Amino acid sequence: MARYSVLIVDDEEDFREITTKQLIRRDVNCESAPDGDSALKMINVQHYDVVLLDVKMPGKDGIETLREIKRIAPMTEVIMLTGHATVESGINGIKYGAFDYLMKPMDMEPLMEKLDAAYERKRIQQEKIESAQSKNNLARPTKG
Amino acid sequence: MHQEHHKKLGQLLTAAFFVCGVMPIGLMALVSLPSSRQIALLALAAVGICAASFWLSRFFVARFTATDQDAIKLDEQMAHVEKMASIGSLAAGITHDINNPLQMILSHVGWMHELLGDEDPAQVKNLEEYKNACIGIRHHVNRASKITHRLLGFARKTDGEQTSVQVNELVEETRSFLEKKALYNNIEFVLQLEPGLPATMTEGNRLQQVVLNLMDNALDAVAQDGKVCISTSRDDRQIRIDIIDSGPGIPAQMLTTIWNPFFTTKKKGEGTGLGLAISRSIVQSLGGALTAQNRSDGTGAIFTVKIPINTVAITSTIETGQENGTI
Ligand SMILES: Nc1ncnc2c1ncn2[C@@H]1O[C@H](COP(=O)(O)OP(=O)(O)OP(=O)(O)O)[C@@H](O)[C@H]1O
Ligand SMILES: [Mg+2]
Repeated sequence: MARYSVLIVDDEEDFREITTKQLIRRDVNCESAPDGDSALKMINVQHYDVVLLDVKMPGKDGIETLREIKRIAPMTEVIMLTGHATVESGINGIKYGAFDYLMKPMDMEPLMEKLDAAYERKRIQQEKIESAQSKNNLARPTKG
Repeated sequence: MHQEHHKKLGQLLTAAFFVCGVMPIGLMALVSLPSSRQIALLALAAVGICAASFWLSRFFVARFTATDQDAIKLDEQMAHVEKMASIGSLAAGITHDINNPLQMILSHVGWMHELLGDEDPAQVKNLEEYKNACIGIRHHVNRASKITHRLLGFARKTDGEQTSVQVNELVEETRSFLEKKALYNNIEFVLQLEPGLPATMTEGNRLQQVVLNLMDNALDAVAQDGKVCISTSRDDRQIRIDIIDSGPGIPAQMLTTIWNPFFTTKKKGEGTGLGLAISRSIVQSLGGALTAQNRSDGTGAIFTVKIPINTVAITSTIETGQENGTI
């Protein structure tokens, strides 16, 4: 079974294709979307652990897409990708709940490190919520 | 042009002072038909007035010249800031378009390198050569991307948000970024931070970029086994940061050229020569000054950053760089 799942959102077809192959080789489930709207459609019907999101795309831009993702799937971690190394674009993303950002061009190793770290945070967060919920469930019968 | 202007002004002023001083004496002399002793006194007074008017006009001209030169210097600085900002907006415009193809080259070559690992060395005669070629391509793409990212440092951030910045904390944090590099080369960071430095409203990120560039340069200058001292201090208007290293110092003939974009003495591929040019344009846009000198005992260089102590955010006087593509 794959370690976790990633959705790549980028308008460069080559980038989506190669990165998908590379992630699958590293035991990560991976799908991709060419723009913000199709990404949101996919997220609506399927769960992804981490989204790799290009900041600058035609159509819905990265930040808008990020805010939508955080609204419909708040647990999903998002890493922003920018070919435009202004610190602001990254910081802006983090303001709206992105896990971190990466500047293009980047090698596979730093990308993998960020993805693993993002998934790790998501996993811990989810565990916390689940354990809180199960405590709640245990507490309920005695209350009622 | 200014020089001539001032000379004329000086002559005019001298004449004016002289006339104002001598006229009443002349009048007095005419009206009261003075004795010879009085004439001598009046003559003495006239000489005194001559001297005084000459001195006074000299004084005023010097004052005018000085403020004028300050103005010229300021103009030059502004022109420099403008120039750098326009490089920045140009860079911001093309960086995205360059970095995307660079990413594609990296991705393709990374994938190829990965797959080569699956090959059987007995079957592929030049396997090692292929692998080395992949590593080479990666290296050179990273070199190119270093330049594009550096160039972006010039881009004026139109939404340059000013926050309350504690310079001492900023220095400490920046030191931590370079701790590994220093340790590895056996270079000691000595921090002499003035306690109770006031916070100032400024663009913290950009100021940090400056301090980082200067500390990084200092480490490079020292190379191995030495010290880099960072001290902070203040007067009533400014905060001052000195970065002092125990390196070889800056050759006298390079003291002005080091500020030029792309000037570097570092090995090909190691330095972009943009660090100081960017740093200076940032400090100037923050209303401060960045200067370099050698230590008087010839044991290294001193780079000095001065920024104003602002209690409230100041709006930058010039806004250029249309910042395409930033989100
Ligand atoms: N502390 C220093 N001591 C001596 N020379 C220095 C010092 N700092 C800078 N220089 C000189 O100024 C040159 C320009 O510095 P600058 O930071 O602009 O570019 P760089 O350091 O060469 O490249 P980059 O900043 O991209 O790594 C350096 O190559 C070096 O020759
Ligand atoms: Mg440098």
